[in-house]
Amino acid sequence: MSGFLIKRLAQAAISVFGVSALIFFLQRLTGDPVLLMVPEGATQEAIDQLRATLGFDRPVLVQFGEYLAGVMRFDFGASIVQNVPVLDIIASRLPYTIALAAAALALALGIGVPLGVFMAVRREHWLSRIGMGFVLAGQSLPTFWSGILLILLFAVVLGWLPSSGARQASSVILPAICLSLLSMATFARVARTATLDELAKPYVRAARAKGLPMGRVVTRHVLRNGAIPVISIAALEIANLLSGAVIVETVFAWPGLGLLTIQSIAARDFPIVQAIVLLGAFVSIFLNLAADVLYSVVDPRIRLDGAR
Amino acid sequence: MASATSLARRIAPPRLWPFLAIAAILVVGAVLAPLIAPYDPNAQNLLGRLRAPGTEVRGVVYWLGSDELGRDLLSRLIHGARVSLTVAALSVVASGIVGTVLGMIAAWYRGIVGAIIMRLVDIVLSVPAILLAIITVAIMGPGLVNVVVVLAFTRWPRYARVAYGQTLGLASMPYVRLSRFMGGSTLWVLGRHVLPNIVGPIMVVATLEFGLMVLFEAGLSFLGLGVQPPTPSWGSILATGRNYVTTAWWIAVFPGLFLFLLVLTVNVLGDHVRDVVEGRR
Repeated sequence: MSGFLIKRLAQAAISVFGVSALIFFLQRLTGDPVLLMVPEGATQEAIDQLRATLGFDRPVLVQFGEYLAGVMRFDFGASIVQNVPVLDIIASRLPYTIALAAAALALALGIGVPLGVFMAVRREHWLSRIGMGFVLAGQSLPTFWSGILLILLFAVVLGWLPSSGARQASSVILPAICLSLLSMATFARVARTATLDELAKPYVRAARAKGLPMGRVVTRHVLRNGAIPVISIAALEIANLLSGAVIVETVFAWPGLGLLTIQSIAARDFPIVQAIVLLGAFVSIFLNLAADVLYSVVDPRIRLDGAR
Repeated sequence: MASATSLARRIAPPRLWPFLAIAAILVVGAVLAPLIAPYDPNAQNLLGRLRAPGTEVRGVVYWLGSDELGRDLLSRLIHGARVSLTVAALSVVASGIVGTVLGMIAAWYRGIVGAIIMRLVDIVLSVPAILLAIITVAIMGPGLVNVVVVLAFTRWPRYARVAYGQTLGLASMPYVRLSRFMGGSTLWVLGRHVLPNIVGPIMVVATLEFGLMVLFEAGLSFLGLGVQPPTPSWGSILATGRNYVTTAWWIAVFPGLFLFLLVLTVNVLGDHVRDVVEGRR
């Protein structure tokens, strides 16, 4: 176990370093980073001044070292537009994204998993057929379209819920539904496959043969064994929810990190964009690590193999 | 003849016909857009702004309605199919070629070269794709060509992983080793013996990626980072439609519907390609 863990940790550390380097050199290779940060039509004098202030006139390797040292301390510099530490701005928006992602995850798990199990147990039921259609459609549904359809139906036509912003508690409902659909379809598909795999195993037939009703077989045995793939996919889905939030937050004007990213690009506030992408990558690397570790804890056979 | 029919049914079973029809309509529509579209997609008409589907204004019939500048939505959507399919096709081809070549090289030379390439694959894949695309566009600037470059840069690792695994398995096969032994150059062996045998799995990745690329292009254009106006893109039309959702629902609903149908079709056909290649059914 410890060998596996150390190897995975080392891989994650390399990824963190690699992503940081990738973002840094992407900026340098594709042009002058200072030009990304000045307003359009700025004078050469202003550009030179900003270059000196931000230290972009020094050797690239020195800059890279300082940048890495900053990233390690979660110091992403200051916002160019607001002249406030980037981390403070991110901290003020983060709770909104977490609330949105948490609500979406709860919806996706709460509806997707039972739906998937039902589709496996009652394969011929009409609800299962609709469920399969939903699984297929859910993967093809652009969130920026489903979001607008939700606004159209529940805010414009019915007038039940607010269409955008975050002024009231009910504002989270529509964006959360919109963000959850893809994950919900994924959970339903994974839970269905996992349940089908378990149902085919001999112990299910044995339990049925000794007279245990189907409902109890499923709740007592199948669900426990089928939970492994669902748990491991959940960690990856959290990463998907966080990045999916970029578009959903833009559709619903939800003031989280996603909307901040798009606003910062429009305002040419590059340090914020860079910090959000780096943090997103770190969270994603960490969740992948967590999924692997969780997987090996739940299923000891994986540990023996070393890596995946 | 019987075998020909059964082969045809295996390649295109009847349940896929509706999807093949949608795919054909979209592709033909995109290719022949200037001939099929009833009007110029960029022709503005201030008298015909925000008209509902089916409205006629001075001899111009807006079958799917008009937008805020009085442009015909149907014509813009037909031309938008062009942008969608072109960007998706180009980025799939570009990322497919780069990824396949790098994956084959990594598996062939292994050692330090292979380690570097495959680490890079892990690193790029560890950044959520949409975030990586957004920051790259933010650095490079928007536009059709840049979107293709960004998508290729973001997605090549998918192909590299598959090509790497497949090539690794083939490298130890007797016929590959014999070809090397008989003096075949690396380029010859990889191109002549390895590539034809990994094309199937690569095609599977490509079809599944195609739908994703359509969604990515539309997503970036929706965020204002993709194809720039006035070029009609389904994503940017949708973004406009969002602002008029209370007064002109059709501007947002129809491009999304087209997009959904295209991606659904590609995904259904992609699943089928995977089943055929992997020998199920």
